[in-house]
Amino acid sequence: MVKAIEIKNLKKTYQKGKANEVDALKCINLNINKGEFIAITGPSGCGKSTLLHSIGCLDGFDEGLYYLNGEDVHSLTNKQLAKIRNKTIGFVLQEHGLLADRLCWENVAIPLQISERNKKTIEGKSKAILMKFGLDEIMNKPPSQISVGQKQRVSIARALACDPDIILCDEPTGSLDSKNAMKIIETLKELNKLGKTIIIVTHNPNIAKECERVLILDEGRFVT
Amino acid sequence: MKNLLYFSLQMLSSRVLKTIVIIILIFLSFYLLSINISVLLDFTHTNRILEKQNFKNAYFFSYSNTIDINNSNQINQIDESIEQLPFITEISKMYRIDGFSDEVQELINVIMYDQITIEALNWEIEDGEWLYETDKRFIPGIVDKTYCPNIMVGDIIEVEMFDVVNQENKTTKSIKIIGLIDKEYFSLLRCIGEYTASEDIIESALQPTLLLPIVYDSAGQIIGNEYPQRIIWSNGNLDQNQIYSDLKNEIINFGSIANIYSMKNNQILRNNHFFQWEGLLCFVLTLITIVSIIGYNILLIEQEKRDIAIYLLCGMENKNIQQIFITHNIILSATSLLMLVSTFFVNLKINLLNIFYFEITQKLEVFLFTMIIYIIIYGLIIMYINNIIKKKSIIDLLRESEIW
Repeated sequence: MVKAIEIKNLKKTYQKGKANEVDALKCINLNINKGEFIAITGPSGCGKSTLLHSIGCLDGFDEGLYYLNGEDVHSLTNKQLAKIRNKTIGFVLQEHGLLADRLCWENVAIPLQISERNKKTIEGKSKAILMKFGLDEIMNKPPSQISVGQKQRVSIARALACDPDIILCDEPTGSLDSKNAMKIIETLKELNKLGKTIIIVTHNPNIAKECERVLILDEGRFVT
Repeated sequence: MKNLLYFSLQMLSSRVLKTIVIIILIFLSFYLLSINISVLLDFTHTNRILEKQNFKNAYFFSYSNTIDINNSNQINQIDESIEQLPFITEISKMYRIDGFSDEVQELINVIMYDQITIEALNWEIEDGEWLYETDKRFIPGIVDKTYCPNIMVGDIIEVEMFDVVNQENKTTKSIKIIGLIDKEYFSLLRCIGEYTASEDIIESALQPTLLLPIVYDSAGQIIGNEYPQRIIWSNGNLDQNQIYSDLKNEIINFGSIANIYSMKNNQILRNNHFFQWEGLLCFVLTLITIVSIIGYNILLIEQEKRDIAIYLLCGMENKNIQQIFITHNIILSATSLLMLVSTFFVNLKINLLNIFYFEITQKLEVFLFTMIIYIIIYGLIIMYINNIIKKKSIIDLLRESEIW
């Protein structure tokens, strides 16, 4: 199997050297193959989000090695890290993170606008993704005029705009009812079948059990 | 980054009113700044003229016989008037008869007691128009021949005295031209005028002004000795292409001080005496603008942090955010600058709060200096804003905007 993510002895400490020093991640070892569907779960403050930040190239780490598609992330420049966030990793957040003053298709278009120049291509691709998700009717509406479940699906569509290999989801169903939550999970499962590597951070055991592999994090370490 | 303009315009479109206010503020500040530069350049220019011409002396003399040169109170009043003019300190205040050389004294006597007996020009303003008080006043008129652009040294011209009261020509004098007022001296007078009154007033004030260039040879001797024939009457319309700058000149300007003195209590003149207030206003407005631009940008970062966080999450770098802000600021400043350039073309007049009356001069160097200062100030602001953006981390922005 081809490794999508390989993490060795990863450590992350906040407020290093100060009285309130916190070891958020302690010696994390993790291998994720391409096309895996993984849930990371654990109590609040166990370091789930910190790990996701590091995996998503949003934040650095103090010690250890992190290989993304075989590339040493620690040695990458800011420009290369930004390109990874644009092309290789898609983010789905609990609070969807849609911009209120843009239409749904314009929200989906943001990653494309960063990397593409042709306006017609951008609009075409964005609308095509929304159509795939059955969101044709809402593509020209602002986020304020659609339901929470639809917002989250638009958010997933945005994460897929540049066709990334890896989708990182932080509590993607956290703000949804069980029916909408299952819809989102089904959508993610479909994406996984298409070969996408999906990593979900969740508190919800029902969501976690839908994943192929469940990793439990406690006090900055994996316990299973 | 692709589509930089798209992201900058997105930022603009969400705050149209604030954008308009900041554009007007920038424009106003730099407009006033350009006026300050204009005045400063004129002042420097005046000094340059003085140095270049190498005037032996420049006398200012009032031909007004309402100013009694033996009356120390009046003399002191004139002194006070002159003291208010920054430029006059550069020039000898030789309006007292005993301050002149023998030759000049003789000339003055001729003018004052033999030929011209006019009283002070009392200027009044009525509905924005300048009026002469005409009772008992004689204003030296200009003969048509002096308007002739081809006037040459050595020509004999006729000078008429015009009786304002009776509206008829009173006397005619034949005068031989022994020298001409050159362009730079004329601009010097205008420059002095700009400190004392608006351009319109100076146009009027120069009308009854008698300019007397006395030309010396290289040994310092006065060329010619028949004084009445040395007088050149001018209303400023002399041919500006004819210059005589090789010789040392002693120039007497009859009338300026009288005009200044009579205009002293006038509203517009008082406003112009607020030159230092104008300067302060320009400085304060520029300062307010700088603070406003910085404040506006910081507020923009704060208001747009959700957008910035999403942009960063979707693959932008902090550098790209800086570029968006630079583009945004360039759009604002370019619009203000466009307005500023327009004022140069339309020669816009601004009567600010009915107190400060400004009219910008159409000089390329004023525009260039304003541009340079503009770029320096904006460059510094952008550097400061860039530094703030550089320090922003994605995680902090995501948390602050409650996205993650």
